[in-house]
Amino acid sequence: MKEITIKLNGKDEKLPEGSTLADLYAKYKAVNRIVGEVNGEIVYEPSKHVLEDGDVVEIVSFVGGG
Amino acid sequence: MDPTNPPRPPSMDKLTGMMFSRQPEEVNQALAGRTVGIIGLGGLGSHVAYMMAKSGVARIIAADFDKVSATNLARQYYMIDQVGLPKTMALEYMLRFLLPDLEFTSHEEKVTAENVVGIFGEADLMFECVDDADTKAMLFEVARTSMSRVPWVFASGMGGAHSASEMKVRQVAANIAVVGDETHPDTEGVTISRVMLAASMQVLTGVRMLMGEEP
Repeated sequence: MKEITIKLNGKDEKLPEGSTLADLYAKYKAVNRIVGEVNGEIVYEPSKHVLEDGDVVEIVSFVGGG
Repeated sequence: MDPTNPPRPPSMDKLTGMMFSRQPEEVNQALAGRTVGIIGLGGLGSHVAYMMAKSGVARIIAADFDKVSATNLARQYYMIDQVGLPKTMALEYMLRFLLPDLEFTSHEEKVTAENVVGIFGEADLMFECVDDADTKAMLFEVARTSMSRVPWVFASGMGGAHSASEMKVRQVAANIAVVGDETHPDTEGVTISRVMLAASMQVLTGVRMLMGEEP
């Protein structure tokens, strides 16, 4: 399977081609309230957003507490 | 010293000058005349307000819809006889002792995507200090869109009694930093030490952003 390389929170990350942002969330077992940005834009439907080679992805995981 | 004629306290101007004489000059300059906004006055927000007042900021705008409860006292900057008071009012009382010239504007209401700009439009720096994860995420969108001209400091992950070494500061957009471990929620229980650690990291990060430094 072909791989793509993205930048996740500042670090290189390899993923299978065709991966969505939701796949990336699942890979990190992220169960919290997540906000994801791809190339500086907030993504509202992560399961429909297919990642591409060279994408810059920022994931912020919000958990309760304040 | 003549005990019947004790020395008079220094004037307010002189006092204020003395208060900040040991703080780095670039910090004093970054905070001079500045307004900070604080959303939520719980364990994070009450201590962020305390530290910003101690640091010499000119004005604080704060919003919280809640009242002080007994379960808050082990962790938040309130006193036993303030139980039942709105947190906005309880905090105003506490801040009065910290910085004589501080201007404090409070809103006893829940902050929403609709009212946030109206309440905090004059702020030069924003602190997200709410406890609810969905509200944090909503405010993140505000910080990326309608209020992207000012720096924001978010906090996520300060629950439990995990090591301080798990806490980090991360710049996630040009105007946004997040502090905390991004992992441990308050359902693991909360300690004043870890919540104050997050609040302290928020304040330092926010001041650095006002100084034009990396978070």
